[in-house]
Amino acid sequence: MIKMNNLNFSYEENKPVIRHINLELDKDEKISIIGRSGCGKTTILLLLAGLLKPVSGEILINNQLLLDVRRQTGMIFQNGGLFPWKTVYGNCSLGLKARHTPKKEMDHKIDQVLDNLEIKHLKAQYIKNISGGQKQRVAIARTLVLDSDVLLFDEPSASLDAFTKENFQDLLLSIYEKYPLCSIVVTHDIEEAVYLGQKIIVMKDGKMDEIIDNKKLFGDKSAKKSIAFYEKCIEVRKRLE
Amino acid sequence: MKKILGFIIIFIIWYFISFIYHQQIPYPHDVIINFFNIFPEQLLEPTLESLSLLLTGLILSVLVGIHIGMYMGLSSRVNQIIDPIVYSIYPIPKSALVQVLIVIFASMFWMKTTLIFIIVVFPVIITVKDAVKTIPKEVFYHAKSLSLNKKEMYKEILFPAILPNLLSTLRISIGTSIAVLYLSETRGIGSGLGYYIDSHVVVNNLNMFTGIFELSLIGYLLFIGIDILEKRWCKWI
Repeated sequence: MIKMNNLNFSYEENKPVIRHINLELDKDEKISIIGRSGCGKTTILLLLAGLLKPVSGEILINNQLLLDVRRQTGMIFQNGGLFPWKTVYGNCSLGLKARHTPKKEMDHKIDQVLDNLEIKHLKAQYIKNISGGQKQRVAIARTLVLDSDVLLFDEPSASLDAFTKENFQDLLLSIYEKYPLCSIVVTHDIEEAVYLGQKIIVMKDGKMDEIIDNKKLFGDKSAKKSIAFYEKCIEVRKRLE
Repeated sequence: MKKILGFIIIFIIWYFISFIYHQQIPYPHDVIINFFNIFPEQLLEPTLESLSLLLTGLILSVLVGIHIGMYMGLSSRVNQIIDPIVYSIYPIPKSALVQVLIVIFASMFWMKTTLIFIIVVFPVIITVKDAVKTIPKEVFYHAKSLSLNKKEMYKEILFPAILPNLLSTLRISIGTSIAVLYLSETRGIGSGLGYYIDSHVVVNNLNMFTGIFELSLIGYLLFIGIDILEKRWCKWI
């Protein structure tokens, strides 16, 4: 589904941020990207979202060259990037309105997604009145209503407390079960990377240094209590060093 | 209830000052009774004149200021060109411009309107520019991914984002506008509420204070108007 061929990017000349990245992802693959600050993890997401253009190389999504922002790619930022002047409903409906979706169909779709994410009761609330975890759910909801097939998460739980973080991670796993999509989670949290990725990509200095297979542990909500989970975390930590 | 308390405090202070300087400053009840007596014959016309000047100047400056401010906030190139113009004209004392504008404009209406425009437009430009710059980049990213067209981008993202700051700036600018409006109405061929107040300084003290009371009433109603707009349009604050 997603193919990156010899991808290179730099914000300033002779200071490459992304270097020679080659990667292929399947239609409903879930991967985690982990790395230290400044290693280029967020830049990869911005490139995949079409918000940045590669200096050289190419990105193909569904065999189509990515030249601009793609409507079916949703990006969820650390702080949600929500529109505070709109209600939860308003945030979710804006994209559908721009696509001239009939009101009835739009309401049905929004209700369904909000219900799946357990935030239907917040529909009429403004963003300032909801918690950090709920904001992240709204951010996901507004991309899901647009039938996104690629979800890009930029450190989605970085600003959440420990309990909300766990709930949010479990929510992501249930979204993965309900919606067939390709997901990339960028994080600096080793446990989160192991919990949410079928593959864990370790990034160093703009390069994909290592791809660790994690299919055995992925999807098991009780995995966090297992020895295998912590062994995997230790393995990732070693690769990061 | 709190608003009534505010008025009571104003009137108590006013009564106190009138009691001390009763030769120069009339009591509030005298001014209010006089206001209702002379309004239809003496105050209505200058009030309408001053109000139309004020509103025309405010509306024009908001329309122009929003557009320039948004362009400056969105494009660093436009910002670099317009910044020196704004920063060099904005600090000029506006009262100094009255004489210049009298020379330039044959119409008194447009002279005064231009003066109010110059007072309000610069703070609006600066406020809008800064407000656009503070919109998080993630908001623009998401808006872009929604493929909003230019009109939707302005209506759904930029305008709501700048609105609270814009209304605050208007509140501040209204006070200055009224003060300079008074000044301009006393120059050249005098007219409007400013002229009415000025022409009664020596002749009729009570009428002069009634004019000042009216001017303050206009300012108060404009502030209330902005509060209403804020409650309607900025429910999310």
